[in-house]
Amino acid sequence: MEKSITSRQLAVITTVGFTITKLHILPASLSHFSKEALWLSALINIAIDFLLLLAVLKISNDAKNENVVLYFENKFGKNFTKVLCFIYALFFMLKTFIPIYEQKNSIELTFYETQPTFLTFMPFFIVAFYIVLKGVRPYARSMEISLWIFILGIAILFLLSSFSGNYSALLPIIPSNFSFLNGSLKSLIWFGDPLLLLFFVGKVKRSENHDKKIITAYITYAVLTIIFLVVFYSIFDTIAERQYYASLKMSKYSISLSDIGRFDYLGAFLLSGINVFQVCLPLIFASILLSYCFNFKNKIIPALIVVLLEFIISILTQNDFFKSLSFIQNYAVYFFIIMTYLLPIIFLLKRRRNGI
Amino acid sequence: MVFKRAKIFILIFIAIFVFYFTSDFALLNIEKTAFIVSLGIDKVEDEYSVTAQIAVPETSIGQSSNDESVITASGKTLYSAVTKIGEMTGWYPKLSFCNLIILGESMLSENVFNVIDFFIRSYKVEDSAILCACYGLAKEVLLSHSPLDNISGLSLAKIFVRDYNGASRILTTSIKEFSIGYYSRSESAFMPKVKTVETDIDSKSGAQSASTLSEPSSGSANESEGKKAPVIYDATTSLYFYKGEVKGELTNDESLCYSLTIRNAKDSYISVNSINDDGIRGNFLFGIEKVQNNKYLTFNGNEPTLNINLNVWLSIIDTNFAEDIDSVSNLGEMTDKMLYDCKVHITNTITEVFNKTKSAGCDLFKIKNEAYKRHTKEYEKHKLTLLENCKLNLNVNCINNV
Repeated sequence: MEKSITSRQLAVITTVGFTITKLHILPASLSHFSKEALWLSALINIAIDFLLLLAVLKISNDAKNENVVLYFENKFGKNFTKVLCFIYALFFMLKTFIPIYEQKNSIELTFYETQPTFLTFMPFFIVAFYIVLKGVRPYARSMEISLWIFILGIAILFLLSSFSGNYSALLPIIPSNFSFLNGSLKSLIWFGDPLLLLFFVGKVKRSENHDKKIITAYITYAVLTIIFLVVFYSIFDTIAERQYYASLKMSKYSISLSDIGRFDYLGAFLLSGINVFQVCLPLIFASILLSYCFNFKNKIIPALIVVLLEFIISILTQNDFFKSLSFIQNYAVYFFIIMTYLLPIIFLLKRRRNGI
Repeated sequence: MVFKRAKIFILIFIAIFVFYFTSDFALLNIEKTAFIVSLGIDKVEDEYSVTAQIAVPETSIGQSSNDESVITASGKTLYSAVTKIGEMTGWYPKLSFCNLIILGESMLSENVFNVIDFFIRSYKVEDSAILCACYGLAKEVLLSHSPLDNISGLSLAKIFVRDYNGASRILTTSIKEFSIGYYSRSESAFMPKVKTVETDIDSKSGAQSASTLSEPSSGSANESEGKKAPVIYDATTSLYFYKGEVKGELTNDESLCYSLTIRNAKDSYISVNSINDDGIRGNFLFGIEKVQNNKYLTFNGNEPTLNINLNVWLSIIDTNFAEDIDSVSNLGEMTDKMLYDCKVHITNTITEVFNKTKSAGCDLFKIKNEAYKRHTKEYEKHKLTLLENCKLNLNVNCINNV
């Protein structure tokens, strides 16, 4: 079996990839449900995800040299594995719906002056097709290169925004009601990222401290995300729920910008660039899983199916995103919970067919 | 063959990335773009009259004069008026450079959030834009001629931006800050109120030989010649709002003293009548070198008390009478009597602000916010009577800065 990526690359994906998908609509959505306790809602989800991460690490230790499909086959048999992989392929396509919209709107609203047409964002799908076609290894290398860009982008963002906030906006620390639990539930669709690491199983050339590296990377992501949410709410306070593209807006209040100009866009630009790769990760897995389910000989076909479907969905829902988001938050979230949290527990508990 | 295909892929990839991130899919002729730098909003009958001050990109070296770049349109809503400007001129109105929103006096008779919510709703305007009210028509302020900048809006914005950096004479606010106050539990906010002050500073020659200022008055020399008198702007008075409606006005002294309770002010001055060591009474200008403020709410049973501890470091900057060489040479050291007079002056002014805003129902000191954040249980119990029952415990400590 070819080991295409390293533990270090997986750690970078954990920190950079997980963090970057939390910087757009999630902070506003959390503020809507949890108000000043948004960080607590996120912390609950991060803690749940940490348990998921431990489960995934355990599975990856169990799987030894198998890839995830072989691992499923050994536990559930070939037929059920095909069904499972198909459902996961659909799940990954659904999971990408929101990140694609976030990327679309953050680009169109920030970098474009005029009313954009549907063609404006179309090039993204061509880029996405290329990334999906190339697969896991080029993606992981791109993310590894992106690490320094991410550090620069996030440093610009934090340096410009962290001094503009009023941190008493986050009081009371202990919320007066339990609405933050609802916030956790409604924002769950942005979490569950450790599940993605499950599909790297068998592709990683594990170093000695593999688990330690991934856990450290996860803690880094958790700290960055919580700090980001705290700074975000301290800046926007009661109007936080209106700030859909947080990373693009929160750094503009720095006094220095009034003298030098809007160089904060540099940070937003860098982070948007990296997000393109991260948005494509579930699509890469969807393509691989479809390829397995239907035995496609040519890699182009599943990649084309996956990207084309996303393109069609984004065209059909372009004027109804918030209705779609509300549907996903209220109903599809339970499907997310089953796919992200319940099934991995079953994978862990189910004994192999050969009894090993 | 594979190598060739890879090269083509890479080239397509780079080309798309460049177009995608540089907005080249949405090219717009720069000369068709109108950069709105300031907006003035007035209410005329049941319509909003929006005056836009526009910086028009031009290919020529010459600069258009201020009056030529001010356009007014009306509409049932704010943005319908802005779009009319585009329809009338053929320009594409671009609001993302709009740094100043001026509300005319006619706007202040209704909930100002009837129009301000547009700036929160829309991504077209930056919510960091400065918000202020003015005496008379906002249109007149934008049409005024300032010797400080060709564009009056930019000239006016200068006094607010400068104040952001430390001085506290002006209660500057932005769309974002005003909205946070409006949507908070206190539902209260403030904004400065601008008046134009005529001046005869000659901007063309660059000389300020006769920089006398006067209150706006009819029939000045310049007006009688049919030419508008150049003006500068005074924004040291402020308005306070509850639920978006004006509840009253703070004088310039009240604005300054209130700002001492909410900002770490520096580089400001306060004028107090006092007496020096030689027994000479007169007006002293004291420099506020540094301020430390500490505000907290306590509950004594059902009775809330707002405690404000204020340390103000002061020094003598100027007097309106001649002092002897010993007094001039003491680097602005204040006597105990002066410190006491300052303490009394600041205490009385802040108490006056507290009482008048409270009786108007405006929670300018954010008592409800403070109660919710630090005394949540008491807040839930007393939120309806919290403001009217609240007492002030103000402790001002004036300290010699020398």
